[in-house]
Amino acid sequence: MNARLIGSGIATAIVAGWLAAAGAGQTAQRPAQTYTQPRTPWGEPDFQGVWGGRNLTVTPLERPKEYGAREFLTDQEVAARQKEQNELQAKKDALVQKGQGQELGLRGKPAGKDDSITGFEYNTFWVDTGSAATVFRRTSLITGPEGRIPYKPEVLERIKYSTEVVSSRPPADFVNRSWRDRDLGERCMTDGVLAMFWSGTGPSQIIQGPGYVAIMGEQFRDRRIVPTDGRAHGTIRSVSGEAVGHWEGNTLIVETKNFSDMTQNWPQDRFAQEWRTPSSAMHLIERFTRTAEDTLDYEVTVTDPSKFTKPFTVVFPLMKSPTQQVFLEYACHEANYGMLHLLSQARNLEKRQGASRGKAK
Amino acid sequence: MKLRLGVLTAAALVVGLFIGLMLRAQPTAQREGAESRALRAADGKPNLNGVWQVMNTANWNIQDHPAQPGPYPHLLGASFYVPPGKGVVDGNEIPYQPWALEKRKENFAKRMVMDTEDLRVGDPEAKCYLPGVPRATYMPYPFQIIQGTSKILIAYEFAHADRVIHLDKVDPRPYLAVDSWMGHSEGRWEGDTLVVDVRGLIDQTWFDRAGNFHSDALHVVERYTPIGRDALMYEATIEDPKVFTRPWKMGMPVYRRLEKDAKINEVQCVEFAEPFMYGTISLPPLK
Repeated sequence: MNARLIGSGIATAIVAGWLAAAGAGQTAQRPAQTYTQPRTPWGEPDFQGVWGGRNLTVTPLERPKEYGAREFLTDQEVAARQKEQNELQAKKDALVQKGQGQELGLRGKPAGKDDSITGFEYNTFWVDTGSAATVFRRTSLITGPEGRIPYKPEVLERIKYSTEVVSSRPPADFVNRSWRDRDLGERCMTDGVLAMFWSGTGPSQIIQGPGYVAIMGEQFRDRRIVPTDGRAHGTIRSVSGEAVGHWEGNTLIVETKNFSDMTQNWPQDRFAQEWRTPSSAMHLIERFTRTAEDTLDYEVTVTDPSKFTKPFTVVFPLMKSPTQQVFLEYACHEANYGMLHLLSQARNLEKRQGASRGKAK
Repeated sequence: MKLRLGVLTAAALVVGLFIGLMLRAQPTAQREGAESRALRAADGKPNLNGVWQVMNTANWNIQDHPAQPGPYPHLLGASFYVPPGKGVVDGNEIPYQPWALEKRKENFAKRMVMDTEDLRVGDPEAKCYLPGVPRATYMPYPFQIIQGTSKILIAYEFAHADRVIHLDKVDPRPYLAVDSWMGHSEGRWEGDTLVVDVRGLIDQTWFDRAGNFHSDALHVVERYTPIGRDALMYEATIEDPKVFTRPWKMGMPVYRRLEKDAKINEVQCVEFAEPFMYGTISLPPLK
């Protein structure tokens, strides 16, 4: 996946230096009433700019068990954790200064003992923020006393298998028969609407015109053009679903449905691989409220009766870069040599073995 | 007569009231829809907001061309023939250097070839690659312009390609470091014309299905000039000293899509390109 690597490298470079300016994430707690929402010339709240998302924090999507029902960290805990992150980043920066940055980026952090991979986590490279990650006050991005994804029991059963199949250590009898055996991300289409903010490695960008808000993600060139002109949802399904929005005061509310049976989502939390199972039943309500020049509070409520016992809500602030005006083109499919090599290697193996493992399956 | 006037007046009042009520009852959407066709945006600039599409055959061939069979008539019948059409190139001549004219012929001959050893062979459209500039404009699919305050987004339906036209200063310019499929676009208003300077274009996009091509030295200057509420004139000046002997121009009208709630849909055309691209190195799906 050369293109993904390159895209990520660029994204990483772009993201560098954001967090210091973004007030290390504490902006989320800033009182909203001191801020006057700027408006577009046609009178709508102005959210335009390049924003960084979930990738800039280390706060996990699901709450670690040790916190129980506790939703927020204390000031002391936030300070201590932020200090850890700053020190970690300082170590990385020092390595970069010594010219060892590339090795660091490609190797990533060592995999944990329960991880499905061994050695170093490739994904660490993807989510490298280029500067110290932010510690939010929340113990998890999912709100409420549970703070975890309310999977149905049968879905939890499936998670183990799907984690293995899509990870770097597939079952012994797994064969890449065709492109269909890889997920939408590896096929260079998308990691899903939610990944744009939840787990995408790049920034997002908002451009507005009268009656429309265009929300774009750098990764996969994800794009959602949200009409706010009062129209209703139609009936056409697509991978990213149909988003329809409206303004309530200074808040943009976006309702997305009409997902297709190819729709997958890929949050970076490794226990959430089940998201890759396609579902057209998903329904999203998102709320965007700008609470400071550099802060766009984001909230999404996810409903999918095929996977979850009840809806759940995720919140985090999107943070604006003070200097970043552009993001670069993510031409993934255009150089997806990874797919060519994966498939041609599988066919060559079969030839060598004289019999197709795929047929024997 | 007086009575008739009275009746007419009463009727007029009733009709007026009715229209008034209808206007009040009309959902915001339709009023805003009408506004989006206004000649001017809120900042006084020409209003380019909307969904647009060409009505020509330039994607098949930017030069004059007769009707022709499609690539696989024995498989597809008449459904995918090449529609005839007048070209969009000024004077109908593309000033290729001699080697480049040969290359263009080779491109055409191999337009539907998928080579797993060389992804540069064949028409990039068949692989669902980003279409580049100016081809994105005249593909037979709509695109939407969202006219922001310092950036203008052009979102194309094909390959969910998009471009951000920067009306503000972007420093450093990304194209100094890296070429891209859709290039780096800087815009400015010249009177009522949006002039867009496009640089940093990669050498792998084509102008059409006929194999017309360029190099990484391509520089495109586009001009978008409204010619009424629902049409604009699109012009592109093409400069590429590695491939052509002189700059040349193309031009065409682009029309507003007037359907209620017009929109561009999400097209993940990778899905349609995969059987073409990977079919020879894949096994059929398990039942």
